[in-house]
Amino acid sequence: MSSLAENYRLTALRKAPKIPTGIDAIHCRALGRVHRRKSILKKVLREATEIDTAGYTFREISRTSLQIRLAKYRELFRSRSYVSTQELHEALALIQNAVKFTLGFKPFPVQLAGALALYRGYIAEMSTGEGKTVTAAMTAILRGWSGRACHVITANDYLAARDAEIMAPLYHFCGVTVGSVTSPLKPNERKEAYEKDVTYTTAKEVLADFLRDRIALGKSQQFSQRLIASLREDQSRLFSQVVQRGLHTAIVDEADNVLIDEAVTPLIISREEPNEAFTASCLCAIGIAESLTLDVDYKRDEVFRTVTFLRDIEELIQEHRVKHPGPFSGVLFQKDLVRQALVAREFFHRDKQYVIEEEKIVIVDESTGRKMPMRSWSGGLHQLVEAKEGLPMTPVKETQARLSFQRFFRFYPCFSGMTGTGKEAAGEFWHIYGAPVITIPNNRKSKRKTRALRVFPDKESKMNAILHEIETVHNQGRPILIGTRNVAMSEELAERLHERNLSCKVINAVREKEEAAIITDAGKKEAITVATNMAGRGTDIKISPEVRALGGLHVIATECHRSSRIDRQLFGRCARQGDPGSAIPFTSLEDELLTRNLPGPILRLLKFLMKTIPGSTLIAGRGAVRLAQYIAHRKDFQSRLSVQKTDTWLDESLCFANEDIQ
Amino acid sequence: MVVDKSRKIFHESWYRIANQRITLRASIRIHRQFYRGVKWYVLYEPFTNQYFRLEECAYEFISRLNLKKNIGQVWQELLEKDPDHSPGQGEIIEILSQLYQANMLHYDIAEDSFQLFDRRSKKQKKKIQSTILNIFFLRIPLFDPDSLLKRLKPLINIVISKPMAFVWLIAVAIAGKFAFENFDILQNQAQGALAPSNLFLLYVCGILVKTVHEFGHASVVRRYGGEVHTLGIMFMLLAPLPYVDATASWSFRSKWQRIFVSSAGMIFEFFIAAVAMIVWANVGGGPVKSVAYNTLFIASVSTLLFNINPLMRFDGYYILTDLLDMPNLQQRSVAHLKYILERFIFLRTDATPVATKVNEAVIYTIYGFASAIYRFFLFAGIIIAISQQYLILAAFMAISLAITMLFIPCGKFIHYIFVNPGLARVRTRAVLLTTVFLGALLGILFYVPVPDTFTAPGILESTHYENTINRTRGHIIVVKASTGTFVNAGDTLLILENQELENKIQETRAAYEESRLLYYQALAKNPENMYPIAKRMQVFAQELDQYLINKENLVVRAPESGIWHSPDAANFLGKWVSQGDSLGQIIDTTEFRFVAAISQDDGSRIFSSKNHSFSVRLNGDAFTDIAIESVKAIPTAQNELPSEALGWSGGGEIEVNTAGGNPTQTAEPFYLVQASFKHKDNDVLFLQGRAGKIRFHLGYTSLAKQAARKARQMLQKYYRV
Repeated sequence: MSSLAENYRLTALRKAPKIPTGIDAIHCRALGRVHRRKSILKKVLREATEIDTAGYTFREISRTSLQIRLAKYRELFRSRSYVSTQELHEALALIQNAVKFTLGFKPFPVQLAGALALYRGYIAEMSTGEGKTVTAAMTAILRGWSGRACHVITANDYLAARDAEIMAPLYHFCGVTVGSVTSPLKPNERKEAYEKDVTYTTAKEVLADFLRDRIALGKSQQFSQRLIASLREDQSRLFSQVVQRGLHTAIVDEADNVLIDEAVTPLIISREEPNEAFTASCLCAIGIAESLTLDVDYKRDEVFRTVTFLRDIEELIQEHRVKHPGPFSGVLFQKDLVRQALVAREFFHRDKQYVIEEEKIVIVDESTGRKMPMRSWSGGLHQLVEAKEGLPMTPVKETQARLSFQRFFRFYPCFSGMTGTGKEAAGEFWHIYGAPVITIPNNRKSKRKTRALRVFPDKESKMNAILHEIETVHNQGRPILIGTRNVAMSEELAERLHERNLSCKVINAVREKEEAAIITDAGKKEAITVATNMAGRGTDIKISPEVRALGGLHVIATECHRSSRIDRQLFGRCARQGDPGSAIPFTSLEDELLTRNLPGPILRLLKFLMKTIPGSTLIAGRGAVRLAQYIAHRKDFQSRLSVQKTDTWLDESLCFANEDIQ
Repeated sequence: MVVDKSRKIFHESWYRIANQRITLRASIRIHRQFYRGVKWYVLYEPFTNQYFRLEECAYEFISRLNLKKNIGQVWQELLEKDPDHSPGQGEIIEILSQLYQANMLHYDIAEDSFQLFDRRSKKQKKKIQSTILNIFFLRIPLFDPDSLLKRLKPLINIVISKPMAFVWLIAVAIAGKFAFENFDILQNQAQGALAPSNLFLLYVCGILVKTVHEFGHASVVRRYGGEVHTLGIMFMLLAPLPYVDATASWSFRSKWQRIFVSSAGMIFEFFIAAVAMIVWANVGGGPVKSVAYNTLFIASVSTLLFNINPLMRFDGYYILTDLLDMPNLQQRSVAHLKYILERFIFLRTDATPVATKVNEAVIYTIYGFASAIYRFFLFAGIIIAISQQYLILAAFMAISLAITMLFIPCGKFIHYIFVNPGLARVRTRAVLLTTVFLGALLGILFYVPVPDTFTAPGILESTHYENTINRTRGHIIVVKASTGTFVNAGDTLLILENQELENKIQETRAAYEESRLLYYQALAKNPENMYPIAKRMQVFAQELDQYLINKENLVVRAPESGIWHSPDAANFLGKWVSQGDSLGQIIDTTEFRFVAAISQDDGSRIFSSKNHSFSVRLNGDAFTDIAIESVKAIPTAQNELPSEALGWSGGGEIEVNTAGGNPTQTAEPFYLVQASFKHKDNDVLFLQGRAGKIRFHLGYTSLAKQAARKARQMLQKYYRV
């Protein structure tokens, strides 16, 4: 670590203000509305037009002189923490031309507006296909010039690597170094990438590196501690283990996914500690669980994914635990393990919640359908699922550090984001992150035709309708993208299509490898692609002129998601950048969204009505879906808030143990 | 039996404390106490005067902590030794964080000083908040009386001793005797005690008594080796009184010692009261007697209303908790009621019960309800009592009480229903039930019409009666018919005597005789005189006739059949009655009507509303409704009651103007209403002047509207708003 400033910046985090609650929260929400007012968008768009006009004056400028001018601005941004609006406009106008030189197209005024908004800490809502990548790059250049760490957070490793590569000429042209951090990288490669002005990475990687750095720093968390220690010993070894330069700017793509949906899933750095006593107790619990029957000894709670004992099993435990004595054989501990074993049996199913690869459980994220190879369930559940599948039990993972994305991103002093669908979550973005959402209009009007939601009483009738829909559209020759919610559903759909002699390609957590190839083909004529949510993000399905003439890509959503945002993201796969396209959502009253969020009697009543008077209850069905989504949204928000509250509580009450952060 | 109780082994935040080395502060004293046979450990930090109660299994863990091992190692050791009673990681985090908040932990790393300051300012903020919320029991600590108490140690040793207990018993016994003898006098004087002129003296005596009371607490704490470090002023209902902090007794191992500390205040107060009683009973009058009485009054009333009453958090509460071995009875009762609500109404199966045994549950339930109801009525009573004298003060109190006892709990309840994570599984049901319940309640209050009735006092009155007027003056010599008896027409009621009349008759008769003789003389001697003499004779004859009729009238006869009623019958014999005096009435018992006096508020409603029905109930026949044919309201305000029986002085409920001395002169004008009965009901005895009540049914109105009107009328009446 060369300079004191860098040493200081290494752990200088923004002290995030408390999330307001109660009356403060009401006040905060009202303030948020002021910050999202229409006139701000108008002002930004007006500025963007001015920049665009200014950009014309550099139209004839030579490559070298443009680079010289850019270098001048680079120095300006590096030497001053504040730049005037005038200078900012001019810098953006130059960057606009740089894009033209390096990438061959000129960013539209709306993209300039997006870049401005990002620079000013807004969450910019831009439709998919409106060139978010280049927008982010323009802001990243402005930020990168300052020399402070600028992290561009993308949805996945593939995008991080791709965007860094595509944008590299532009960055290079503007005098900014760029790198990308993806999961396979080694620590020294990571360090190198983080040393760059701008680093493309994923939220998971950047947070994991942050936590690993914290562990590496150990007792030298604070600048002052490091300063004192430096008098005593050479710290270069310590610094060599730290990969990041500190946190300064974050530009988060797909902000709603990272900052809302995934926000509270904590990222955990752990080490595995063999714990034989615990394994023994798990085995004991499984033995007991096997002797218990559903609805006799325990009952299931569908909504909360837990079981409740109907009889006292303590005696049973007393009997069994003699065979497996140990520190965890306490009756109450053992009982909890039995419960976990039952939960593993009742609620965790292969290919739905997890897949098995190389004798190992790999968790599948239910919202994205992606595999989460590094994750594991806590509290013994993981071991119990392994035992259920007859796999060797992995050792218990001992947490070394954990932090939620929500808290992590609040540490960034400069923070902005982009999303295709941010309006729905605007309140939360402001409430939690203090970032107002600004909706940047499309450059060209969208030609997407979204048909009204179709509601069916049960899964079977929905499936038939979907198959019918696929056949009809397929006969027109249009490519079809079908979004499913989980792996099992995608496999089933593929099978049913095969029965009808329709060939389709499946992207899901189980068949992850062919993804890129399938996506490339998904826009071709007569292609049918079944995807488990994953296609909803960042991936571009290009269509040929022939397909465009036929009416573009057709998107079918087989189920509604917890949030209408995710539904909209799926629809965003079609009709990009002025292309034609259409989308249709399906849902049934047996879908998880409804069963988990609406009271049972209401659903049964609706189902009965729908079956007896077909068609008449469409509006009620749609209302039910909206209501379920609203309830799910409230639940999620509350749980996110409560996670934050628990964190705060822990910070306050375990003050003596707060050495991991700040 | 709770089937579902289990203990999680792991906690996600364990890593934060697993490597820490923490122990209890060296200054902490630990006392073992038993509550209902269960062992507890009380940690006491004398520097901050804070207490913390630990269960045995938590204590097992905490007691093992030391700076040589980290928390993770200590936990492992405990697990190896006793897996059944080891706390889980989450429980340990919880306990440690509570101990940390109570400043009872010692650790070897420097903590975040920002957090420390933050915590301090938060605590201060909370303190201010609770001060504002408890404004009626505001406490301001003044000084540390410990050294004073140490100096008073010899005195304390004398006071708290067996001989003094004997003296106490004798004093109380003697005072009890005097109190028993003078009970009614004491009671009568109580009304005067709250008179404004006496308030100052009362208050001074109050301070005296309470000082002794607090000294009682402090000296017993001192006697058993506890320390009292705070003496201050408590503004009880805005009246400053002394208090001491006797919490040191919480660490006493014997519950009887704790009970003695709690009751010492009252014991001391009783002694003062006994002395005052003896003085009061043996002093003739003057300021000494007055002071004695006030002392007695304060000691008894405050003891009954506050100190001994376990429903408020004063001495009686602490005595009760120690007697029952149930510390934190108040909080736990509330928690228990919440549990009942969750478990049996919201059907939350995993709700954690507060009580472990049935009898505990019963005590919690009873105490929870009783204290809530008692508090409500106590505060409502205090507000109403104060409001009649000091409107603005009462309004201020009412507002702050409404905030602390209504809005904040309601807000908390709403928050609890909608946000509490514990209710997540039954949220729909909880919200639904609450909404339905509140909706039903509001619906009943606002929309369900209930009979809108009011009653007015009145008396029975015969529609027809004959006044018996005396026609000839005289002394009553015979009373033939006693008042209240039935007489037929022509029956003799009274016989009068008038000697003058007798004389007159004789005189007139003589004059007539003289004239007759003169007439005959004139006939013989000078006939021209005949005519005037005949005239004169005629006059005398007429006069005599009149006198004879008058004499006849000395026997008073009933003019018609009916009940003879004479208000003055007792004094009749020998009484002189003039002509035209009323002797009484003959009341026709065939027909009665009901005359009622209604207040102005109700009067306006009678005059404005049309569709109403009525019924009358007579006192003594409360369950027999007597139907009414029609009601005539006299639309002029009156001040004279139809009968004394309706006014205060006659035992009625209408306020009369006592100053005027007229028992029928009302303080406020009223309206008279006359109701005629449909038919004579044989079941009910109709008697002239029998009191009763008329009930007006003014159709059906919701309770809320009726209450609003009542409140408006009250405001109008008391505050002239």
